Amino acid sequence: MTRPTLRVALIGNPNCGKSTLFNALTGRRQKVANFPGVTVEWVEGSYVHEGTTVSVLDLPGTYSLSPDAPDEVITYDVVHGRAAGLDPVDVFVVVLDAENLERNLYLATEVLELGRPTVVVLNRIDRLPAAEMKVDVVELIHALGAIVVPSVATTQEGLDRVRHCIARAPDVPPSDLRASGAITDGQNAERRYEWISAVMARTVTRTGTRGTRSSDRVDAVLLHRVWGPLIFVAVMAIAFQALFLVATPLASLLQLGLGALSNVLRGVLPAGDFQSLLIDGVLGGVGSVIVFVPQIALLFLFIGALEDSGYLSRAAFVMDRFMRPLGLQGKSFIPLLSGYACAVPAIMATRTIPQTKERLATIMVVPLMSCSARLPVYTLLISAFVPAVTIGYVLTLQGLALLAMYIFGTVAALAAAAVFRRTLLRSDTRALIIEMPAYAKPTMRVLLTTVWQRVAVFLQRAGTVIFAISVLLWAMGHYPRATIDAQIANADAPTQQEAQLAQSALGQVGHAVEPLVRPLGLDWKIGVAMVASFAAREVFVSTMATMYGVPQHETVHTELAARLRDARAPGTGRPTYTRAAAFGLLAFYVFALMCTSTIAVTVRETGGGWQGARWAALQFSYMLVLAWGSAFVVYRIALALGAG
Amino acid sequence: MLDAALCAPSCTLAACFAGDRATVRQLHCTKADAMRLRTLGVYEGASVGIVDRRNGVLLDVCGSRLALDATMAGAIVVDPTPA
Repeated sequence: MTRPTLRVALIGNPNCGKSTLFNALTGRRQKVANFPGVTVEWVEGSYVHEGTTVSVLDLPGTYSLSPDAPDEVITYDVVHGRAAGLDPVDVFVVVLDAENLERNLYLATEVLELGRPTVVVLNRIDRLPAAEMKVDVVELIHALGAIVVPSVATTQEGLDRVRHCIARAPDVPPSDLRASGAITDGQNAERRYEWISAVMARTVTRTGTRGTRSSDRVDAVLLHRVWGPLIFVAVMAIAFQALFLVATPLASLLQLGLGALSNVLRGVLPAGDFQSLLIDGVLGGVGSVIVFVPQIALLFLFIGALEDSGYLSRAAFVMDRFMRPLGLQGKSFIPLLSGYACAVPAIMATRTIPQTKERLATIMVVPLMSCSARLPVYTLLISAFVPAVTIGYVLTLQGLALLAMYIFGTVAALAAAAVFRRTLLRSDTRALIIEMPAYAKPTMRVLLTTVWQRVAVFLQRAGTVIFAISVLLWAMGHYPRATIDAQIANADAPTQQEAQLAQSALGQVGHAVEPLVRPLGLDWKIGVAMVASFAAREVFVSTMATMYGVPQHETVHTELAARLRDARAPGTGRPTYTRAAAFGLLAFYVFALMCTSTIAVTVRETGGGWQGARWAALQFSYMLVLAWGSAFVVYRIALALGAG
Repeated sequence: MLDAALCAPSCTLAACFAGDRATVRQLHCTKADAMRLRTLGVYEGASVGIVDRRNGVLLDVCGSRLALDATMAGAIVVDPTPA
């Protein structure tokens, strides 16, 4: 095996195509997006060139080597050899967006002044004709005194030359920008830009007079004070409707597949505990979560398309006006929106927020945004208790109910942020200064790779955490064996199953927590599912599937929803779960923080150690109180309105 | 004494019109924000274009588009450049 011998760091402005170049060089897929901060921490990949292993670091985008936000500090530390646990870098690769050369050269000159081996990659040269620009690369090489390689990372044009130049860079004398006195005052932006202007005059030819760009006409609508927010709300509404309408047939297909697999197992394996463990425990538990993959993939596809098109930065700018009264700025909006997909990367994305207290407040409320793991719980309860009524030709009552869950979470997050910013985390709000990247058509290959990466993480959880919990729950639900009394000895299988569950270890846990959930109109079975889902909230569905012994030969999700809807209390014959209780339970899952990964990342991002643990404890506690209180209020109001 | 920089014909970016060009004279904001603006090309002496100003200000700076909220736009003193 070849040992890494050359360490390379990619540095560049946000949205310069740096991560695309990283993917093209190393073959490793990594998130590419138009909002500053998607590469929230360095990522490493490698390739072999002429027998030498080249290790490549993809650093967070930055506009200069004077860090302003936590993500830029990471780049600063690596560049100056201060990053803990990282070997010094041998070659810097500065990636320039050819279309925005003047601004990109600012960072390039700062890196070149370090006097270290550096390769400058002039990326996106394919966009120059449309931008009515020509760049004299030879003149640029002379001006910078460094290797400059033109390239188009998306089509891999010029990549061989990039690899070749990286390999040769340690043997080439570094740029002497500082020694030559080209830029006499390193801290003076005016001097630096004056020098860059002179370089631009020598190297760039404008082949046309760039008046209003087509993107400006689009921005006139998307950034409009009235149309901007309305378009944003419309985009979100369409997305959530699509989530229900498009994903449902795909989910049904998955359910059929799981059902077929279950039938095969039932035919092959002898009846008994092992068959039950595989079919009811593993397939019932893991399978009931896997069927939500289409919805989760669509959610990630939607957010990814918004990022890659350049719209997300516009949305941040449009939303700034609404965020400011809450003590946050538009940049906080991006992590909040990412929270719809998953709180973990969303919390990491707060590193783009320069002000510490604004960042902390954002971290504290991000988990209130309804993440993809809540989707299985919402879908199950909504399809069980909200009628499938069509409103007009497009809208459905169930789709609207789902949208309502997301709105409740969002409103709660914004309100909680306002409270934090007026109490524990009081400070002035920083002004919004944000680059609007050029609009770009999302590359389907890149988008699908991103979606697959995130779905793979979800499946990994299904294959590990949810698998383990499903097996444990199955065992706790089956042991100790119940003594079936004479009264129900001749009863049907479901009745006997319930008697077994009630006397099992799982049933005893449920009965222990029942006093806490009874005021919410819920029984011990839901109590069990709630306790089990404290590690990961999507476990709620698999727990219910396991407890109700929902067979896999039918559509597990539809079957489980029907079981919940039709469940009757022994003796009274009244519904076990009323609509009021279901709505209360939905409210609980909107607000509760039930995700160990989120808690772990909060600890890390709020300072680590005891300091981080304190913030995470506060986050968990306030959300739990909010969840229980909201569930109680919603249940009582729904009862008063006749939903009992 | 009246600050010469604030005398006519100077105004803030917030008072400029879409389609105008202007030369930045002063940045009346926090040190951190000023440093960020200078890094992005909005430094004293820089020429910027006002693309849109209906919701904050959208600037043409160094060939790229930079959006500033209304408060920040009101803190940047410029000399409008005759067309």
